[in-house]
Amino acid sequence: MKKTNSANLIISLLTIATVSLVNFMPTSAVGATGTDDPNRVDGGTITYVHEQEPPCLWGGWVQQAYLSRQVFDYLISYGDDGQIKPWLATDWSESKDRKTITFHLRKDVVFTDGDKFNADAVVANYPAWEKGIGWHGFTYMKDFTKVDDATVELHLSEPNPEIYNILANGHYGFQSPKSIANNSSEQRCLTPVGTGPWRIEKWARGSGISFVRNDSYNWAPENARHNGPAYAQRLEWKFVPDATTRWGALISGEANIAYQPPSVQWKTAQEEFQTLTFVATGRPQGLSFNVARGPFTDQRLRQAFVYAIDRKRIVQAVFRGTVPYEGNGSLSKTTPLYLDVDEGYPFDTAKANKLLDEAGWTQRDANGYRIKDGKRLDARLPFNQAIINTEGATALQVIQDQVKAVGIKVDLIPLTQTEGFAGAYSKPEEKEISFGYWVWPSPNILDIVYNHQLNGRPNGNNTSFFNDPKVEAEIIDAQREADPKVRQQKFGTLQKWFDDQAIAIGVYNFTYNVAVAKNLKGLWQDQGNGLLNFYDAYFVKE
Amino acid sequence: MAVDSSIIEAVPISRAIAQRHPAANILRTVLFRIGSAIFVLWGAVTITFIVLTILPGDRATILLNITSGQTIARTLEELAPINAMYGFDQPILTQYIHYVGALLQGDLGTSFELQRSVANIIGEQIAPTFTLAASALLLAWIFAVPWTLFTAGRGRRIGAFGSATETIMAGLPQYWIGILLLIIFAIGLRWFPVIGGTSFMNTVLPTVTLAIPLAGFLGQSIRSEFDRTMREPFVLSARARGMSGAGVRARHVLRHALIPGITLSGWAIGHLLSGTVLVETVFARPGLGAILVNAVSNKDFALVSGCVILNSFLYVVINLVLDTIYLVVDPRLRGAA
Repeated sequence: MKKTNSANLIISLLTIATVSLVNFMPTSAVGATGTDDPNRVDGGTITYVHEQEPPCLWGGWVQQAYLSRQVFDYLISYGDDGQIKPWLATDWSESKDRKTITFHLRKDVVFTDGDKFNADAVVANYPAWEKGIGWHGFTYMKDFTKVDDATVELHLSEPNPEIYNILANGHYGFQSPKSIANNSSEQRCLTPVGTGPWRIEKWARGSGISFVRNDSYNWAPENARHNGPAYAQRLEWKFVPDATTRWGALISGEANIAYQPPSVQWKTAQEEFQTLTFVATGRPQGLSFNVARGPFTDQRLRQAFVYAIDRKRIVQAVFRGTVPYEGNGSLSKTTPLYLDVDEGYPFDTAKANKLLDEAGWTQRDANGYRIKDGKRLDARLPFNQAIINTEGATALQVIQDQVKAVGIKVDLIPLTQTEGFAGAYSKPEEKEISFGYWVWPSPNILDIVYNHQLNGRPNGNNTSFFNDPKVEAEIIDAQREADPKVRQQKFGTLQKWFDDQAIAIGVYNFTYNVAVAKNLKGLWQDQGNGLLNFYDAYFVKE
Repeated sequence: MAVDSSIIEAVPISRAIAQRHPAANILRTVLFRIGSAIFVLWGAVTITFIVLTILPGDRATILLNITSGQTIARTLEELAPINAMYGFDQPILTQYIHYVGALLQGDLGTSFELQRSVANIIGEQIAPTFTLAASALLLAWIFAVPWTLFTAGRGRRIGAFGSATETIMAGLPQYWIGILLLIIFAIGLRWFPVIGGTSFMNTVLPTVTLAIPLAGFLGQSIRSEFDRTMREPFVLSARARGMSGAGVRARHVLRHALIPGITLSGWAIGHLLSGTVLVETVFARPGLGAILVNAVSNKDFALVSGCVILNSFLYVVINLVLDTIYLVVDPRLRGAA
């Protein structure tokens, strides 16, 4: 799956040469005109080519959320304007202490196996969430209780204004209680039963998933473009790991939508096709410095490192406009209460050198690397190749090269999928810098990544090994703040502080790009998690 | 694999036995065959088990991280229920005995990552993989035999050209061939589908991708034997008897030259069955290659082991078939039969 750069170059040249041979489909109006598009053709099969194939359809990984969204429905929906819209819950209210939320449910919703959606169904799904979603504890959800058949109460351990964003993401959908109780683990993995606009016909591993329309669907979220069954008859979700092949499938017309086209083709994609882009919420792809031990416990060294790299230009050069630069290491652009610090730490090697000199790293070895007390300025930077793609790895190599100019030696340590997921290089004595992202629709990501402990144990998500009870208290205080304005200010202060301290700094945003054939309209991307919505998508007459 | 050499060595042994008491010893030969086959399977399973046990990386941690998209160390509290559920907390020997015990009852176990029975997964993926491997091998032979016949033993220049072509073919990386064929014939010329599965049209380009380097290897091994045989005295005497040059090459010399190619084919088919992951990636084709690579990455023992058992089993069967083919090709081996 990994390609060398020269192979990439050949591919891009060949593909560019090929594009001119291809007849593109005639152009029609870009974007959807809604339910009354006179050119709309009902039915048909939408073919989408995606990259990764997760083990099961549902779970805590975002790759699974992309799929679950097609077959499950959710209490609430994330609107395009960031407002939360009714879905299976028609309305809701919060208790005074904001730790109990009462949801009133729709009464006309049925699962595709005939089971009824009601308060019991909500309560029955909670244990599955607890068990199946690895990071569930960070949502502060405690449990659901039934008030009556169409009313449930959600209990929280902390007030959480973003709980709605979380409930609207792809992970918190509902499966039929009958299927949870009776189906085998294989069935729950491959063909879970939901109330959504599609149901699973077949999962052919290594090839794709066939979805068919749920003809009795009539409970679309308020922000959907229509109600009733999906426009298309079928959805073929193919797994195509190679970006060139996905691009080829789109330009040959075999697929209508291609996930993450090769960066070199992005300009062509924008010119010849329709494109959708989602910048993930949560933490961007950023550098976290080990502040517990090693040279980067010194703030001047962290800042020097950041001044020494030209982050904006690196991102532009490597990703060619498919991915935006992100300066903030704590929150990404699309996360609620995000603070823009993109102009901080401009590329300035003189400043970097000055800071390093001040910190006492004045001597140099034969290769120009700085030395202090006989020790070379070394920074180990492990990265998981299953999470950082080839282009991300290229960006890291440029960073390695740029900091060399000021005398810092970065050792890039690529980890295999096995090593990475087995938790290799996750201890403070094993690395100086970490690199990674986390998709999360709420500023309480600070609570997840900067808490020293989790349930009385070291918190593995704290990759900077930050340990400051005072700041932790400020984070939880911001989380609990009832006044939205004050809360925004408190989270802003925290982000500014982490940026000033250079504990974590951003590099680029994790994005979800798709290119769409021009004869397919109405496809949209949920702005909470980037999930594609095929329900509103329809073909138009050519 | 060291294990299959025992099967090949078995040829002269069985032949020697058969020469003395042909009728009575067929049974012994068959029993010996079955016995060695079981030994090969047991060895493969045991080695796989040991290797996956020794490899670093805690299975419960991998399972927890992969289902939540994290890459962190886990606490004992988190790991305990997973370990208990899948029996990872049992002593290694107990796990081994459990696995082999279930295996003897025909149970290949369950993939902990995919939550499905290994037999189901393999049953689903074997057909596309086998079709691809067999057709690639066939195509490689279809190319290699005439190519050798026309270019080997015909003077230095033609021979060097033929040999160089084979060397280049053998050295071409599969990924590169695949992507090139895809861009030219599927995306550019639209003669074949880009994605789509396992139909005939979908199988053509992957087959060619695998067949090109294989044909290079086959051609090289046939060629050196062909060149050597061309210098044998019987070639001259056949020509002296008035046989045409082409006739000698096709009927006598080729027969000799095929033997190393046949031996290589046994290795090739095993290699093709498990080594198709790159081709599967480029052509978005289902098959055992990607399943196996993924299972190894996630230390999904039951699934890895299932694939290894299947592969070893096919090795055994293929070597039996090859032994028969040797008898057809080389009359000297038919001796007592």
